[in-house]
Amino acid sequence: MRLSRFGIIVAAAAVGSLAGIASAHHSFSAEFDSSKPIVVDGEITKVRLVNPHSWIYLDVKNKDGSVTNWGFEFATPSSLRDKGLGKEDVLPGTHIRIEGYRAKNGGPFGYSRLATLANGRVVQTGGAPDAPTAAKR
Amino acid sequence: MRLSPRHKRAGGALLAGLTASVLLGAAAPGQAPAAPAKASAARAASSQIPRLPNGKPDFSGIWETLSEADYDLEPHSGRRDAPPSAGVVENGQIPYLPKALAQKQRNFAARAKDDPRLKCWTLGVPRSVYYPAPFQIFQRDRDLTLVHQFGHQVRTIHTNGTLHPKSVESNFWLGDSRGHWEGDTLVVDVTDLYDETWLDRAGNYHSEALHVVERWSFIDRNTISYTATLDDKQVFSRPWTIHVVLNRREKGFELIEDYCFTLPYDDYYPPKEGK
Amino acid sequence: MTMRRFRLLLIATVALPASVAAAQTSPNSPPGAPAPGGGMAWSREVPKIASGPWKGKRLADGQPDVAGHWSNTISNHSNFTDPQGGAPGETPRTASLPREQRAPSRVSDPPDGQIPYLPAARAAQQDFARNFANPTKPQYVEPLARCAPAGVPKSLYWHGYEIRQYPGYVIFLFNSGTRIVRLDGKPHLPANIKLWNADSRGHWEGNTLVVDVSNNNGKALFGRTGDFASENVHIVERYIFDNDGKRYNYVARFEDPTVYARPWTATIPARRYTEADPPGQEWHYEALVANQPPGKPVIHERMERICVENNGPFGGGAVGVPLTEPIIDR
Repeated sequence: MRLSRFGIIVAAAAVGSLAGIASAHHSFSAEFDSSKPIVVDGEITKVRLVNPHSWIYLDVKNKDGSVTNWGFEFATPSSLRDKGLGKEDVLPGTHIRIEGYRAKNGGPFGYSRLATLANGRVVQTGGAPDAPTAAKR
Repeated sequence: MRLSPRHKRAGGALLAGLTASVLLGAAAPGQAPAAPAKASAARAASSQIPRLPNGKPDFSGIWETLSEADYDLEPHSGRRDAPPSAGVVENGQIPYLPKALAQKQRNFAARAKDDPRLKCWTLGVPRSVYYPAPFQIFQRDRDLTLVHQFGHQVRTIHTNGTLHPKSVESNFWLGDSRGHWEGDTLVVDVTDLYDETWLDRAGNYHSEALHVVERWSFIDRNTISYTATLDDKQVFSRPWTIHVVLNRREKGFELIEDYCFTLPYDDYYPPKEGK
Repeated sequence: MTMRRFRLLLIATVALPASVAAAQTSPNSPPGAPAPGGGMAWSREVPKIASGPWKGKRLADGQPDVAGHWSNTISNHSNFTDPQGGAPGETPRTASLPREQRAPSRVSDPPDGQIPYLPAARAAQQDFARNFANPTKPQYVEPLARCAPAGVPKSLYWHGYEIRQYPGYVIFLFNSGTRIVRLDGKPHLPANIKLWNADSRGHWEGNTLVVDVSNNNGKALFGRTGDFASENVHIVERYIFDNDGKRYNYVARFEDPTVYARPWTATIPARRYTEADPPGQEWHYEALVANQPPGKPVIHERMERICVENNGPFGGGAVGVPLTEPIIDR
């Protein structure tokens, strides 16, 4: 095995940074479908910012005028704060737009990748290591 | 721990007063209060309650109520899903705000479906204390750990002088409990409660503004007097108080885990080839 | 030494966390530096801790004082026999490394690191692993994703947990479930009572908490690769505590003639989190700073972790989840 000096550094960095996030609790692919992106927007009804996954529920108007309550999974409260999203940004009754991926169970659930808050601010929310990144839209 | 004679006298007088007030408090609402116990009898009772090495009453053990509180906190005659009871609410009725009373009545009408206990959800505070299933108290200087058999939910009552968190991201199913001692009574302040619990099977409920102050004290070494004062400005017009009695379970009794929320999917595991 | 060997040695040395280097040199930084976004950095080492006398602090009843916040140091429940290799269907960065550069299997005996399944059990495990990443049926949903208790031994390597001790008891507060270890020598529950967290009866031998575990319902699985024990499993656990009070190794013998061709041993190293550890590591220890009145020392406490709804949020995207109907009639 021939390794450049760069190779040594890369290998060491890879092993040294077995960070909690990288081999974390989540398994995106077991629950959500990266081939089924979705965008919804509506009024927030419930917020649970809890470990290991936060959830935000919102009432989404369907084309026929009916309303479906959707639930989207987010990262831990502390990593959401790091990304600039706290409970005061997602109050029930306020508007939110979520881009993410549908749940494999086919129900009104999804995994949030990007959230646009009521004040227009956009937050990248996804935390699962095996979830698609923005670049793979 | 052996108390000095001076401590015994001081403690005894204090305990006589507390024991008397406990006996008064434990009387059923609407009845005449029990006569205060004689000071000497109270001293005898107080020295028989279990104590930690630091002298504080030791509530360790397995406890369960015999009361009907969980069926319906308020006075009611027998019905299909509840035995009759004079209720456990001081002055009889829960003082709902008008809109909240309407919500309570909707809950009551839908209780056979909507009671969160039916999904084995965490019971919250104070319902977890008077739900008819045992819970075990483990006590040390810095805290009490309450492990409830139903759902095996765990509440920590911190008695180490720490305060409620300055803020929480989301409220807790069993709240945040901080306790201090007033003589032999443990006074617990419970905040940050999540609103998806009910107070009983009759649909009595609360919001996230609920604040509970509990008082735990021994009536005798096998009996605890538990009172809880609830205030919630979004739901009730004023604070109100409940009293229940908790009994120590029989010698040799052990909790058995009861995670009933797993019942719908128990049969899928462990893996069976090809199924 | 050839250049190739030198480079490999360099990689191995650089890649070792400071705690392992400490075995040969002196410790200069605590193992598990904070990772971005919180959490602890995983290690791949399994320190040697021998059973023997306890020389550390004791509680008033004589038990070694091991109360506090603990976490395993290797990884989560993604893969039991290749803990840093990722769950089925996942390819973490570490998966591309040579096997010896990842942590060893949690199976410390037999030496090949594999659970010695009987053929039918092996087929069942592989069936689960094949379907984990695309669970079209409920039985392929890892039960922890449905909020089921993590059970034995998975509770010890999911998230951090707290150990509390009392006369006659050691209790483990996990993020999904509670284990009460009784030290009074009383017998196990009746055999037909099967529990997610099993029934545990233990005693101390010097620095080692020896726990006999039965009444296991076998439903918790060991993690995402579908490794498992049945309800017939009998486990003898040894929690071997280092006299420095900072580490322990869980070494447990699993015996189940209906699933395994022979007994096997799991080894799981753990480390304690204390106020001396740098902030930002709390995630896998699940400890946070208590709100103290001014002038009081920093202490940590555990936040409520109740994952109770089987209709989400945890696992809410998985097949067969959620459910909203009543479950009990009592």
